[in-house]
This record gives sequence, structure tokens and C-alpha cells, in this order.
Amino acid sequence: MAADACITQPLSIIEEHFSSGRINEVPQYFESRKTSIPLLTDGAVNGQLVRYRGMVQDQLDTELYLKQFKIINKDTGDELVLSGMYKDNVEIPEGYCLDDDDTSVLHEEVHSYVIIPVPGETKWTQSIGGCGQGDMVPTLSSNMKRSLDCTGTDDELTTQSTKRRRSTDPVANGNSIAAPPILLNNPLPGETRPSCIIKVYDNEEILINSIIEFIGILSTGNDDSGPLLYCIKATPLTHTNPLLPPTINHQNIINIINFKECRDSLLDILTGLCLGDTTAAEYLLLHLISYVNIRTEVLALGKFCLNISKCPKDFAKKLFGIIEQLVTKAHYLPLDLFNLNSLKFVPSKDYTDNRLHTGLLQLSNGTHLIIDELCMEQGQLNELGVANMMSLGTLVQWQHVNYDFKYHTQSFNTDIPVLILSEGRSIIKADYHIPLVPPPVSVPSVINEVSPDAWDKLRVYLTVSRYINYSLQSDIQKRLEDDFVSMRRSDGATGEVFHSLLSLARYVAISNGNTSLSIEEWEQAKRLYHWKETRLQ
Amino acid sequence: MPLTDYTQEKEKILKFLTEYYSDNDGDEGKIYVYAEQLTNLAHREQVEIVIDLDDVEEFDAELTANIIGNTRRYTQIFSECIADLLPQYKQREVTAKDSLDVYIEHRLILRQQHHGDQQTRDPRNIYPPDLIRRFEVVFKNKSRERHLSVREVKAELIGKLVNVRGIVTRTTEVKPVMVVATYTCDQCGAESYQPISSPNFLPLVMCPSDECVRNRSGGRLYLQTRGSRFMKYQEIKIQECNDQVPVGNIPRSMTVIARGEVTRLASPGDHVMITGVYLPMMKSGFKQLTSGLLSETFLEAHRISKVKKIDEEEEEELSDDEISQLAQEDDFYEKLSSSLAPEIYGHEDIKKALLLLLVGGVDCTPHGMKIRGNIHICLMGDPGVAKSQLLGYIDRIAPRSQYTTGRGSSGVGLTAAVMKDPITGEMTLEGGALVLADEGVCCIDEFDKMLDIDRTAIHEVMEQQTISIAKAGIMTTLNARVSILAAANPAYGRYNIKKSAEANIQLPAALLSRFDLLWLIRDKCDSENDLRLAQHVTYVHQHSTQPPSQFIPLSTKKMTRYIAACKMKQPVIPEGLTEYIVGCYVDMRREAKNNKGNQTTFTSARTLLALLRLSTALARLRLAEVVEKDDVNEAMRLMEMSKQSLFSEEEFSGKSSRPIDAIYSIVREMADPDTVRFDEARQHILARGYTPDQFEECLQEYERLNVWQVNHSRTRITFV
Repeated sequence: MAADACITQPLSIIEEHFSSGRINEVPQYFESRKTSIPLLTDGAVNGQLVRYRGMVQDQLDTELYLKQFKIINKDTGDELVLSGMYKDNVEIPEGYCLDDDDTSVLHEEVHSYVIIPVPGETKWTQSIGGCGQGDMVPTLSSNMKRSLDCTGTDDELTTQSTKRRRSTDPVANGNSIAAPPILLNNPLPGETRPSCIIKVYDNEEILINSIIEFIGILSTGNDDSGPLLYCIKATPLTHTNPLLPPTINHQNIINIINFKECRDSLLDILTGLCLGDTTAAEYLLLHLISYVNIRTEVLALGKFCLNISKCPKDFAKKLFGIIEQLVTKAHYLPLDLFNLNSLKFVPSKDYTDNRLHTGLLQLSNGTHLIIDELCMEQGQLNELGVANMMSLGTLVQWQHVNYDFKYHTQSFNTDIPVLILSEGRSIIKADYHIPLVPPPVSVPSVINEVSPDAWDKLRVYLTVSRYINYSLQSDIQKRLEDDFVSMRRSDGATGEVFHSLLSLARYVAISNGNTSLSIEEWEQAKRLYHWKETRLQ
Repeated sequence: MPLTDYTQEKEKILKFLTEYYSDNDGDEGKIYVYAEQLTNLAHREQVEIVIDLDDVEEFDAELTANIIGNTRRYTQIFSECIADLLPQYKQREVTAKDSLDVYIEHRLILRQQHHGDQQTRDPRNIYPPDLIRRFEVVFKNKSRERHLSVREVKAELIGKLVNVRGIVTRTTEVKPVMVVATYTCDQCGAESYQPISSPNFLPLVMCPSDECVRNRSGGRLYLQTRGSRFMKYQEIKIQECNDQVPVGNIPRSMTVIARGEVTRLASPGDHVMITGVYLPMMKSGFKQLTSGLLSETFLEAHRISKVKKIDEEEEEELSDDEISQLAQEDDFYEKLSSSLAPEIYGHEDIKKALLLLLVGGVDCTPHGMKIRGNIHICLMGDPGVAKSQLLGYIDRIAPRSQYTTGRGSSGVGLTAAVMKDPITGEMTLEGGALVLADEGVCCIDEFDKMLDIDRTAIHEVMEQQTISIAKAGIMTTLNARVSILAAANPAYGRYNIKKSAEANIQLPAALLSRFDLLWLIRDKCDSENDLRLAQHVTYVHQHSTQPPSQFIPLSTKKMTRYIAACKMKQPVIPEGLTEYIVGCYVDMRREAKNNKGNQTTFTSARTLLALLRLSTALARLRLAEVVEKDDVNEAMRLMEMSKQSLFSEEEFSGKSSRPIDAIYSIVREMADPDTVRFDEARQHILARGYTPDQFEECLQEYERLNVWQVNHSRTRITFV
């Protein structure tokens, strides 16, 4: 019953806290009850406590509110101190009015953000995540314990979550709280989940395009702006994989799953997809675990934009179908003339309604973008098309997107792995380009043999690999340098090549679950690079 | 908190207004700044009176603090004081300026006639003060007060005077807003007044005059437009400039309300500094009752001034002292150049050249002819030699820049386009990248991929620094004072050693000669260098910064600041140096003649201009006022290095097998007939890109061979 009151009457609990001077403990109080708080859905009513997870799409202007103010009863002289936190209006009791000479009145800022459902969130993530990331915590922590005990036999891992997924009705997630079109500011088409505006009271920095989980009080009273949340607690998330707890400890990663096993089975699946081409599959695997790990003024190291050429027709869709099953966020973009000339890629500021209008490239970090160049035909690009091509080029080359603020542009750093599938070499210059060369004897696809549990393991594998603390040991460093010098002498490799090789080696090591590079892995990276080069000649 | 005694404050203000003076620079003694303005106000020759808080501070520091803390109240008090003072400053009869003047005068006379002299009441007490006052009081904040960004204006600043910097994104039309509404009664004819301070008001309906109330005649009031007082009113939206926005944030915006004389001072796109009072927006009527908790805020503008984007900020980070200190360091030139793109290994000379491009040479306009000071550089090179990174870095560090690729932009996109507005059908000009980069840098990547037709559009820009447009009935010339930094790949994708330099570059000579420096970045093998490169790259991968053995690079902010400081200087070439420069040029011409083989390093009058530009840029870099011989030598050296980069090694070695022999032949050429001045020879050699060590080596070797002799004081080389 107490839990119920916490959900339905959160304001009265807050008031209790306020009157006893413990207003600062409010976020903590509700966070500890996080698992029982329902997600924002159709059935939610005004004033109830809800959870919402989404991406910060826009930051609105700051407003002021009365954190603390006094009202007095003119007749009796009674005084009452109230707080304006977490609500849109205060009911002032009969006979009372605002104290005009109040010197203790406290103005504070409240920041408003537009939050949209995570763009490109894949179906499986939604269907498991629909019941909330927090719910998985107990399941997984026990799993982690188990995998710590016996690393070899972690078959049971995530079985429970799989069951849960099956029992969850996906239709229930396709809810829609009616929102005006401007709020449906989703960069990707086909999004039906609700967006909302969130008012955040503490001065914590909430960055644009970050994924955040909010606990807040719902207000549906504002007829003109859709649902509104008064935020009690905002937690930034570094990943959105519902099979894992929100925070991942760097030390225990290797124990969560068996890296070697996952890598092998993933490679099998990808090889089948690539019509038996193991080299391309290997590159694809490394691409899937890549991310920008270091950023300096001009360099974004670790980016691994892959271009697979000589793809057969409808290869892209098939590939996307699988990638969608594996990663938490992905988007398939058919790069044809119509899309290029009509879609808006870059977000731009509209000063008439003072909002940032989104564009296709406003994606959160780690969203896989699969560009299908196979459907491109000859024709004319219009002005928008040229701008779109340029922004794609900038994204691939620098990993940043220049948002259009009309009077100037502002660059926002991104970490979006881009996979380009094309017939010949792509128009966009990728970091790695490999033509698909299937062996004469076709390899049977193993996809149908993969059990649901195995899928879940692969999903965990792809997320967890990001958290590996990789470093180069000094003993191997010497070897790398010498190798490079001899490569330069033999075939004039440039510094750029060395950069690519080091990134390649990095992901080869990470894909094996290693935190440092071994000689064998370095040799393998070199081999992979060499195979690619020979194919290109 | 003790309550402020406003009567006492008022006395202070009266005293300040009448007695404050500033010392005149001349010998005429005191100037009563405000008293003079009061006279102007009294005669309706001035509307706005600016109270400089620096002056108030000098007069009474406590009063200043009070004004800043509660600006709105003090604006009222100042108005009252000035209104009290004005009659004393009236020296002659005032001519009425507009109908309201006439109206007020008329009412005052009427009132006097009605009540005669017995009535001692001051007529101003009856008319609302806002109706009669025809002046506006605004405050100018203390000059050392910092300019905040929009996000720094926080709740604790409510009601206070703040300075905000930003870019104007929207302005409304200037509209009249009612300040005092005047009504007349249809029954008794009495006039009623209603001062208005909120955006909405409820008009008076019933006549409150004694006559109507007594008779219960129920007189209705009608609004008198001519008798009401209106003010100019404009809403402005400002937004943070992009240098004020922290990473990962959207620029914040703020509403500014301008009244009276501060309207129409800015238009969208302007960078402005605004001094104003930060206030919460008053809600009225039903809204006030229901949503008293959240309120939007605005800035009531007192002053709006436009600023240039580049020279506004007084950063504390790099003071003038620090800059001059930096310029005095021995290796500041190296330090600055290697701070450019520190992640990119090597290419020292190219970075130096790029540094000069950022600083720019001095423009000169002798007899109406304009000679550009902007330096153009073209980088050519094999794929994968970090050309694009260098461009990207310059794009980031330059205060104003545009990055575009040759493939992505047509000539129209680069210069300017004439657009037809779909709704009004009006023709408008839209600036392309080159126009937008005016007074900045335009980086053009993949210059070779550009169509020839589009490239010709750049010719005019590069030399004349303007863009002429004759299209769709619009004929105009736009300024495009840009430095062009182009990057191009060699004609065959990679530099083909077997072909000549011209064949590899394949750009028309007319275009090439417009570049002050052409740089070919070759990917040559050299095991020692390679190892260092390898170490560099591995280190970057491991630690995300460049190796620590190198010096700590200057931050981009410091660099920008230093470059801005350099740009302020306008160094001149002293008379004595011209001869030397001419001499250098003649030598270069002679050399080009002897060296007929290559047309690329074509030497023309443009080369001389380039030499001058580079020299002045170098002088600027030293923050010097005068160009020195060393600047010219360094400019020569850079030009020579850029020239050398164009020849393939084989070609170069074919010409002279060893640098020592090359030096010898240069010295031999200079001999007249048997002697050469030592200094001259040395300078000449260094300007050709040889090191002092090589020179020394050459001297010794040939002395040993008894080819020449160097005298003891090392002033002369004599051939034997």
C-alpha cells in the first residue's frame, strides 16, 4: 500500500519531506523505489509518478520558479511556507495570500528539455526494455555472480530475461499519448512512442543527444505541449542494453560472458551473411564493436567506418535484419536520390518557434547507421542533397555533425558507427573499404540454428566489449614501430595506414576480450589489412 | 537588512546630477556632464540621458551598488529627481515638438486658469508623472563589469543590472506601447488618467470625477488616443555566440525588451552587448492566478551596442603582457607553428606557412590600387598525408572561416547566388562560402576536383578580393577579403615521380601564380623519420595526446588570441630594406630564367608581392612595427622550400649532387669578379633553404681545396 501511495500521490510525500526540512532527500527516496515505478504510458494519470527513458533532443529556455515562499492569512496572521518544486501550481488555502514583504522568497531556475524516445532503438531492446531497465537488475546481478563462479557454463545467462521478453506484449509498448506534431521531433521515421518535455530542478548538466532515465511527476494539464514531467531524478545511461545493469564495472567485464565463444558464434553468423567471405565477416565484426575512444582537436580515434562493396542486391536489408537483432540502436538508410533530396539530415534551429528541429543525423552515441548505397541511381542532386552528402562525409571523416543555427553552425561530436554497403567503392570515403569476395562453394547460413539464449549472449557481448580498458603495452609497442618502419620501406605505407592498423589491432584484441595487444593479434590485424589491400588491387 | 532610506538616496542623486563634473582634457576646467544634459532635456533637444555608473562610482560607491542591485527602483528615483530639476535648467521657451507636447502644455495652462493662483498644488501631482516626462533614464554599467553569456544569468541576478553578450536571432517590429491612458467622460468632460505597467490592462469604464460620483450620472469614459502617452516597444531575442556554448549544449536564448530610444538598434545576425535589468515576466489575469510558480524571464534593455565578433572579448586568459612576453621568447615562432595541429606529425615549414596565413600580411592601397594582404596557400600531396586534417584545424582555429570541398560546391555556391523568394517573388542575394568567410579563411578541400568553370570564379576573389555579380537584374560587388587555403591531390592520384611537376599538378598557371605558396607534401621514406612517426602515432593511440618529450602546445584559445593581437599590427617596410628586397627578387627572376625547365615555379611580379606579404606577416607575428631583414630572409626561405617541395628528389639531385656543391655554385655566381661579401653570401644561401651548417661546411671544404679564401674577420670571400 505504501508503494502505491508513492506512485499515485508523490506530491504528498514530497510535501512531507519539505515540511520536515528533508527536501534534498526526495530524489533518493524515489530512486530507491525505482523498480516499482511504471513507465510513461497511455494509462498514466495526471500527478502520478512515472519513469521515462529517452534522448535529449533540445534544450529550451530557462524559467524561474519559487523554490520557497510564504503565504499569510490576512485575518488570522497565520504564516505558511510552501515550495513550488515539482508542480505547476499551488493551491492557496482560503483566506491566504502571497506575502508581498517576504524576504525569504527563493527564486531558482528550472531547465526544460525536450526528450524523445531513443532514436533507432531496435525492436528487441524495446520489447525487453519496455518493462524497464531497472527490472533486470536483480536478474542480472545473480547471473553475474553465477558467471563469476563458473565462467565456462553460463548457458543459463539471461534465460529469465528471455522468458520475460516472450511474455511481454509488444503491442503494449506501441502506446501513444497524443502529442502535437512539433513534439514529435523524432529524427527517424516510424516512431510512435510518446515524447515529452521535462523540467529539471537541480543544476546538473544534461547534454544534448545523451540518453537519460528520468523519474518524475506527470502533468497532462498543459493542453498545448503534450505530456510534461517534473523531474525528480535524472540518471544518464552509458548504454541501453536491457540485458545488462545500468552501470557496468570495468573489472568484471571479462567474467560476464565468454568472449571467445561469443566471437566465434558471431563470426559464424556474419560469415554466413557475407556468403562465406570470412575476411569481410571479420571486418564486420570489428566494425560492430567499434566506437570513438579518443578525441583530440581534429582526430577521432577508434572510428571504424566500413564500406563493403560488390554487395549483391538486397544484401543491405538482409544484413540490417541481423544487425538489428544484435545491437541496441540501429538505423537503415537507403541512400537514393529521393531520400537525399528530400530528407533533412542536419538539425537546424527554427527561430520562429525557438526550437531545434531535428534531422536524421541527430542520433545518440553508439547508434549504428547502415547506409545502403545499392539503391542509388543516376540523377541530379538538389541543394539539400548536396548539403546532405556533405554532412554524411563530415560525419564519416570527423565524427561530428554541424547543426545549423542560421547565423552560425555549431559542431556536435558524435559516435555513430557507419556501415556503407555499395556496388563499387562508395561516394563517401570510409576508413576501411573491402570488396565482398564470396568463395566458390557457398556456406550454409547458421542463423536458424541460433538459439534465443545465444542471441542474448551476442547482444551482451557487443555492448560489453565497449567497456574493456584497452591499452598498448610497452613491449609490443617497439615491435609495432619497427614493423611500421619496414612496411614504409617496402610499400610506402603512410601514417594514415598505421593509424588504421592500430585501430584494427585494437578491435581484434578487444573482440577476444583482451585488454592489451598480443603479438598474434597484431599479426592477425596485419593479415586482415593485407587481405583487404590485395583485394583492392 | 536595513531598509534603504530613499529620501536620503534622492538627495545624493540630486547632488550627483548637479555637481558631478569631469576634468577636461584641455585647460577649460570642469565639465558638468549631467548638468549639461539636463539643459538639453529641458529644451527637448535630447530624450535619453545615460547615467554612467563609472561616474557614480567615483561619486559614491555605495550608491552604485544600490543602483546595480535594484535598478528598476533607481530608474524611478532618477526620473523623479530629474523631473524636479528640469524647471531650473530651462533657459528659454521650448518649441513644441509633437502633439503631445502641445497637449501637455495646454492642460497645464488650463489647470492654472481653472484654479487660479490660490491653488498651490503642483500640477505634476495630478497628472501621472509618466505622462509629462519626456525623457528616458538609462544606466551604463561599469566598464570593468564582465559580459556574461545567457546561461550565466541566473536567478540570483533578478532585478539587477547585468551585461549580456549574444547574437540577435529575432526582432519584432517596433510598435507603440501605451504608457499612460487618458480618458474623457461623456457626461462631465473630466479627464482621467491610468498609468500602465503590464502588457495587458483593463480599461477604466466609470468616471471617477467628483462631479460624476456626486451626481451619480454614470459618466462613461472614452479613451483619448491623442492624449495618451505611447512609447516605442520592441522585443528582441538573443542567443549565445558559439564560443560561449559548452560542448554538447544547445545555445540558450533570452528575450530582451527594448523601449523608447533603445529600439531599432540591432537586427538579426548582429553580435550585441546588452546592458539591462533581468526580470521575471509579469503574467496577468487568469494566468497569474493559475500558474504563479513558473515564470519566463526577460532583460529590460538599457543599452544595446553592436560588436564585431572578433575583437570583443576581454579574455583574462591571455593579457597583453603575456602576449608580448610570448613574442619575446626565442623560439616563439617554432612554438606557435608547432602548436598548430600538434597531433599531426612533422611538416614544420607547412605549419609555419599556415601560421602566416592566419596572421596575414598587410593590405596596402597606394593611389587607389588595392593590393591584398591575405595570403593564399595551396597544399598538394599524396592521399593520406593529413592535408584535410590541416585544413580542418585551420577551419577550427581561424576566427572566421568556411570549409568547403571543391566537389561539393559549384561556383555559384562558392561566390553568391541570387535567390527568388517563393512567397514575395523578391530577388535576394545569398552569400556563398567566399562571401561568408569575408575577413577570414576559406578552406577548399579537393581543389583539383572542381570544375574549371567554377574555379575561374575564384580568380577575381584571389586577386581583387571582391565578387562581382550580374545576374537576374542584380549587379553588385561583394567584399570577399579572404585567404584561400586549398588542398589538392596530384593529377594521377599519387605523385608520379616519372612525370614533371607541371604534369603532376595540372592546374592552370593563372591560378597557380595567385597562390603565394604552393606546397607539395610528399610521402618520402626515411627510416629515422619513419620511426619517429611510428612512435608518434602509437603514442597518440595510447594516450590521446602528442608525446610529452615535445613542448606543451599552446591552447587553441591562446593561439586565436595571439593571432588576433598580431592582426592589430600594421608593420611597414623601411626605406632601407626595399633595395634588398628588390635585389632578392631580381635574383629569383634570374634563377627562374636559368631554370627554364619548370614553368610551375614561374616567377612574376606576383612573386614579389607574395614576398612582401610574407615578410609583413612575419613582422606582425613578432608584434613589430617594422619589417626587418630577417623577416625577408625567412620569407625567402619559405618560398624556396615551397619551390623545392615541387621537385622530385631525382630532379633535384640531377641539378647538383651535393648541397655543398650547390652552395658553391651560388657563391660563384655572386662573385664580382673575384670577391663576395661574406654576410651577403650567407644570407643568400640561407634564403635558399640551406642550413648555416651546410654553409660552414662548404666554406671549409672549398678553402681546403684552395678554391677560395675567407679573410680573418670573416667579411669577405675571395676566389683564388
